[in-house]
Formats: sequence, C-alpha cells, structure tokens
Amino acid sequence: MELSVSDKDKSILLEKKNVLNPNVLDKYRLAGQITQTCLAYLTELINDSYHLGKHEPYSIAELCLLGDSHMKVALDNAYKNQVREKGIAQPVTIDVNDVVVGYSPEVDDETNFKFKAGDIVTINLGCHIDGYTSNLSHTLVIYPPGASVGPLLGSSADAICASYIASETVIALLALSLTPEKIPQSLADGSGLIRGSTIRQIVDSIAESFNCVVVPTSKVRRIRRFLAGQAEGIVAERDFKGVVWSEADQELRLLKKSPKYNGSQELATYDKTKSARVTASSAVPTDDFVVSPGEVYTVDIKMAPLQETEGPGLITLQAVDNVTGANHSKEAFRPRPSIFVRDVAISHQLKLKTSRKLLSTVDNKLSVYPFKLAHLTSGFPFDLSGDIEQQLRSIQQEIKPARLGLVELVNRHLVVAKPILRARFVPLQVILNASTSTGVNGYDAENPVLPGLELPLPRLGLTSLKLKSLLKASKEIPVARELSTVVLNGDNNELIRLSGGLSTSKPSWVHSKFQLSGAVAQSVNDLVQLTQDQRFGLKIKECQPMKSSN
Amino acid sequence: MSLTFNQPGNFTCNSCQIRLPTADVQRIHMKTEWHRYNLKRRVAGLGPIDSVVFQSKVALQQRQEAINSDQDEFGFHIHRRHRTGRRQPTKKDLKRRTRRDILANSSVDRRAQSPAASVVSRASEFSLGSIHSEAQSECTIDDLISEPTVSDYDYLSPASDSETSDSETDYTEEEQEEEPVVLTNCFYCSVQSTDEEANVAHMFTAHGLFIPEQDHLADLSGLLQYLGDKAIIDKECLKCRFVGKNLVSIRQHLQSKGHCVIPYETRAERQVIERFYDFDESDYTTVKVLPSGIELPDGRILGSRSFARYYRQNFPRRDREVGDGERTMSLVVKDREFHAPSYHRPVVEAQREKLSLRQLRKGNNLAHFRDPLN
Repeated sequence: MELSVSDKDKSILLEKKNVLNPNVLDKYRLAGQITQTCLAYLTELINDSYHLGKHEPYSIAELCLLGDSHMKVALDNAYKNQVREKGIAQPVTIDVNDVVVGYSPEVDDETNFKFKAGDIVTINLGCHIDGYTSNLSHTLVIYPPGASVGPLLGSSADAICASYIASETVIALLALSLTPEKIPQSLADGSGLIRGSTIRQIVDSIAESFNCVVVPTSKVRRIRRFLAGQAEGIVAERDFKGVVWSEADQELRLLKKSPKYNGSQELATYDKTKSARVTASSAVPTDDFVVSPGEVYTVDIKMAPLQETEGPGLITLQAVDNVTGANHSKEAFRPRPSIFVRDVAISHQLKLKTSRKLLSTVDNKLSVYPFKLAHLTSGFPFDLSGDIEQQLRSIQQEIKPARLGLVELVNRHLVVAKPILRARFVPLQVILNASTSTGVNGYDAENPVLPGLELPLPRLGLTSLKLKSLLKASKEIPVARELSTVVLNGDNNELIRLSGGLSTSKPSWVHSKFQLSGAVAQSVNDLVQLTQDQRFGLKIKECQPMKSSN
Repeated sequence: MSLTFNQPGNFTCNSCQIRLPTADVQRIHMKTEWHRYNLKRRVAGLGPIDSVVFQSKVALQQRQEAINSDQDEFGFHIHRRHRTGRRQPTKKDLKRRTRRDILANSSVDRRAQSPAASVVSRASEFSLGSIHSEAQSECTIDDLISEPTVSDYDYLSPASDSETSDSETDYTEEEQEEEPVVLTNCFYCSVQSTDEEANVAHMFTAHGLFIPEQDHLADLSGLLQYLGDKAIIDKECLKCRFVGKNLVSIRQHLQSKGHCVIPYETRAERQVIERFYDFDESDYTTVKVLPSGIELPDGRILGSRSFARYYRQNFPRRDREVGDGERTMSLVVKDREFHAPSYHRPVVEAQREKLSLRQLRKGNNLAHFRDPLN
C-alpha cells in the first residue's frame, strides 16, 4: 500500500526541508565530517597494515564492518534525541579493481579476501543526519610493502588520473554556477549558466584525453533530503536532475567514429530526451538542466581505461551473485549480495516469524537507506578498543538466523538486494555480430536501471538481456572512482565540499603516460587557477575530518 | 349499497346495473366478488342479481360446503386423514397411558383434577376449530362485499357455526367465574408452579415472557398481578390492545400471535410498568450524543448500525510511526512501468511484414490438399 501524503506535507518534505538554512547546513556538514572521518580511519587502517606493516592486515569484510561501526558510533553521538532518522546511508563497500560498486561481504562470505599489491581499491561510504546525506568514494592504490616504491603505472593509473581530474573539474564547474561572472573564456557559451551538457562534455573530453571511458552508472546528480539516489532502479524518482552516463553514450561515440554512419542522421539521431514522455518533471534523466545555487550535488565519476583492450568496444556492467553461472562459468568470484534496501512501496503479510521480526526491525530502526544484516545484530556497533576478533565471531553467529528471514523478504520484494557490479569490456565486433531475437522489448527486470535507460544500446537495438549474454566474450577491466557530495550555498556564494578533497582523498601516487590535451586542457587549467586563487577565485570549503579521540 | 341508492351518481356498472356516486367507489365495486359473479352471469346470457340475493347464495354455498366437505366439487369422495379421530390404541399406547395416569396421581394435587379444568381444556380444544373457521369466513366475506353490506351479512352468516359458538359460550361462562388471578399459575395456560419465580421461569420458557431489567425489579408480585389482571380479568393484550371476548379467546390470541410479552420499547410503555421498578440514579452513565453516535465517558463512540458498512472497512493498520524518509520516498515514486523507448522501424520492413501476412492468409485457402511434409 502506498502512503498517502497531503499536499501540505508534500511541499514541506520536498521543498521547505530542502532549503539550505543554517540548521540544514549544519546537518549536512556534520554528515560530511563523519564520512570524512570514516574514510580517514579506513585509509589509516589500510596504510598501517598493508604499507607500514604495523599489524596483521584486515580482510575486506572486516574493514567494511569496522568502517560501518566507526560511522555508527559517530552518528550515535551526533544530534542525540534531536533528529528522528539518522544513520548509515551507504554501508562501507570496498571495490577492488574491476568491481565497480556494491562489494561489501558479510564476515562469513566465502569470497572475502585481502588486497594484493597493485590493486586499486575504491572505498565507498555515506551517512545521513535527518535525511541530509553525504556520500563519498575514493580510490586508493595498494603498493608493495616497504619504503622503496615508485608510482603506479599502467592502465589503472590512467583511470585514477582521469577520475580524479574529472571529479575536481566538475566540482569547480558546479562552484562556477554560484559566480557565473567568473566563467573563464574557454568555457563560456554566452549564457552564463552551467548546464548538464557542459558537465558531460568536459568529463567526456577528460576521459578521452586519458584514453578512458566513463563507466555506465557514473553520474553528476542533484540530491535532496532522503533522495540521495539510494534506491535508484528500485523507485523512479520524479524531478530527476543530473547527468547520467550509460552504454548509449559510448554507443553514440563509437558510431560517430564509423565512416559509414558519419553524417548519416538515421541512426545517430536517437535521443532519449526527444521522447514525448520526457519532461522537466519526469523521472528520465536529461542533460537539459541548469545547475542553480541552493542545490546539493553528488559528483560520482567512474573511469575505465582502454589501454589494455584490443579494438573498439563497449564498457558495460555485469551483476554478479552467488547463484548465476554457478554451473558453467569458470569465474570464481561469486559474492553474495549483502546490501539491501527496503522497497517502501510494497507491503506483504509474511509467513516466517524470523522474517516478520526482521522486517519490523528494518522498518523501525532503519530508514529508507541501504543496510547490511550485520547492522541489525546486537553486537553492532562494536567496541573498537575491545577484542575485535571475538566481536566479529559473535556477529557471524547472529547473522545466520537473520539470513533465513531475509530470503523471504527478498522473495516478496520487500527488500531489494543492491547488485554487485563488475566492469566488463565487450568488443564491438561481438556486439555487431549478435542478433536480437527478442527485438527491443527484452527487459532485464533483475537489474533495474534508471528510467529511460532500459535499452542500453538503442541505436543498435540491443537489449540489456542480449548484452548480458554477450558478457561471455567480455574481458574484465579496472575502474577508478571518485565520489563527493557538494553543497552549493547560494547565500555565501561558496561551495561546501562535504566529502572528498585534499584532506582525506588525496590521490595515490600514480603516473599516467597521457595528459590533458586540446581545448579541454585549457578549460581545466583555467578552472584549477580559479580554485587556487584565494582572493578572486572560487570559494570552495572542505569539511575536515574530526580529530580522533583515541 | 344503501349509499349507492341514496345518491345515485354518474358512475355505472353495466353488469350489475347499478349507479355509483364516485369513481373510487366504482373501482372498489369492480373488485367485489358480487360484481365478478354478475360478470360471469352476463357472459352466460343471464340477468344480474341483487346484492342481497348474492349474499344468500354465498351463505347457502358455504353451508353446502360444510355438509359436503367429504366430496369435491364434482361429487367425488375426498380421502382425508382424520386428525381428530382416534386410531385404535395399540399396546404401546395403553402402556404409556397407564404410566401417565400413575404419574399424574402421584404429583398433581386434587385441584388440578377438578372437573372445571378438564372442561376448560376440552372447550379450548373444541373451540380451536370453530374460531378458526369463523375467522376464515370473516376474511372471505370482507373481501366479498363492500362496507355497507356487512350488516346484511351479520344477519345471514351465523347459521353455519351457531352450534359451536353456543357450546363455547357455555363453557367460558362457567370458567370465567372460576378462574381467579393466582400468581403461581401461568396466566396463559393455567399450569401451576410452586412459587412465583418458577411461574416466571415457566412463562419465559413456554411462552417467551421476558421481564425486562430484572436487576432493578423491585416488586415482582406487583408486576405479575398487573400482568394477570390484564390477561385474565381485563382480557386485554398488552401488545396490540386486543380485547378478547372471554378467557379462551384472549389466551388463544396471546399464544398464537406470540403476544405473551411486556412491551418495553417506547417511553409510554415503560412508564406503565415503571412503578414496579427501582432505578438507582447513581447507576446511570452520562453520555454525550454526537451526530455520529453516542460517546461513552471512556471515549469510545457507539455508532449507529446504519453506518456499519463504513465502520467495518478493513484498513491495514500501521503500527509504527512513518518517518519523513518513507514519506518522501513515496512522494517521488513514479509508476514503475517499463517505458520502452520509441523505436521506429524502417518503412521497408513494415511493408515486408504486411506482404508476408497476405501470403500466409493465401496459404490457408489452398484449392487442393498438399502434404507439406512431402
């Protein structure tokens, strides 16, 4: 049953509560600070164990739980008895190399592993206070232990460079929307506005100069209270505002390169924004928007390098789980999905007592954000100064009965598992040779996407189901990711960077053989100068991590 | 009919050859049996008959029917099981009867065996049939004739059941003198009980007499006296104000109509028996009367039964308070239907499809059978 909300409440929830007053800004800032602190904590743990050898390295599952626990303790101390809902908005996921998003194994997961030297590791986390959300992702490099190490070279380095530069550039662009008079000559289009298309164009150019591809599901989007994209694909969000990269953009780029279709309008004119259904208030993302002050954005850029691939191809995502391909696939990496999000639109009378209990816990204790089973155990958050091994074991025991109940919740679609996605490179040759017997109507209900993006390759008429079947001939590819949340505070004309930035997300030491070239080099240079100019440049403030108490 | 002759009007009845003052009277006349009889006579080519003649014919017919009740209209014998007639007693019956006699001798006191009681019981048994038949004939006559002719009928009718009513009045007169109001005797069937409570219990189980508000009843004997006086002495039914001619008739009425009740619905009815009760003022609860119902002191609202369909709606209950997050999400959720992007097929392909459809249609209409496998 859907909740009915009155018009008055609607305007309060969607408009008034999203106005950036000092109170709201404080909540945003505190959420940002908690995410920054958690990232600093995790970075320190990884550095101490893997690089400095101070203690035995933690596995990924343990790191995830430690991060969640750290975040939860900080959140419990924030706004005590003042806000009704606060908590983890994104459980810590640690995605290694080709895993793009969602890998946060429970402590009893069989795929749980430790890092190797040369891995690029993306830490992704988020929290919210009263719905004001701060998300964060940062890609680290695992170096071999010892002091005498050089920079990371190769394709992963390209991706890290590209994603870092792209995300910093986009943040500078967003800051420019507050002071349009400072838009440099290289970016000016005469309108004095920062549009979605501007953002897309500059990110695509940066990716191209580093021989990278913007991975599908990358996005620069406006977020609102309780609407930080945590249920993307599960619910279609009205008034979606943001740039979203998908396979269709790569397809267009490839087709434009082809001499046959160059200039031919027939296939290249497919534009989802021209559809009659797409309006300013629809859920289908278009680039036709203007960044305006008073909004909050997440800049989520994922880059995949094309250095080690042969010939033209497409980067797409593969959802992995513990069931699919168990009989035929040689792939050993089959993690269980561990992050779930409640689908609030669905209600169902459950049969099992454990599942009813679990659902009521989810409904009462957690909000609309994703959660892990470990968050619902009694030992969570655990005492970081106590015996961590012991506490991990007790959590492992407690998860088992809860997992029984979870199965029913998932089967009834009351909660939906967030997919674990891996990046795959599919050669264009394979795609062109594929026949689409289902036509364009095949729809992969297992992996819902944003509305309007159901058909991954609209010009070639290839459905997501068909693309899934082509993944057999694909190749894995590493992905670097930078995500930060920024608040465009129109009152002070300053951009508050809630997460990321130099204080916590300093890029690892890498060396790419590519560099910015062409027109985009000029624009990026201008933007960097503006951000570094204290007096006449852009005002960007970063949230600093809290001083550690222990 | 006298009305008809005194004020001859413009409305006529051709078959009865009378004139009627108003259209309403004419309409009523058209529905009478007399008119129908005359109509049939007219069809048969006979002249109309007078109302008085018709009544005498009806009476004659009824008497004839009573005599020839064993024969149908064609004179054939109608076989009926004689309910009243005794069949030959079997051994079983004899045994049962002797046992009953022994029991009666041992338990019932002499008063119950008095000849009066037995006479009463026989009289009531006998009168059952006669009263019934009287009621029936009354019914038919009411239907038959219009109001003014009732007197005519009264003059004519009693001949049929004069015998029975004679005997009946004899018995009731005899009984009327002897039946006093005894509080331990049932007012409706004279069954004797040991005390008043037992009598009340008997009247409740056997006749359905329910005494309302028994918790507040202060004077049971007074109430019983009042009921007995009404039933036995006044011979009046409390429920419908029917007054019986004699005790038998009022008892007959009370039992057959199920009127062995104390009316307790309207304020006036309650006031009649209020003097036997003692309502303590402190027991009352003060309620508030709302347009939607009655609000009790504890806050609950008694609703009217007429709104039951609205009260009985079964909404799923939300036990928990819903947070802002869930409400926000439910606000922005769009319908989750899959919107396939508009994909235009080239025109050539559409034409080819049409062609092949036509060919298919043709393929169904082959002139000669051809095995597709060979």
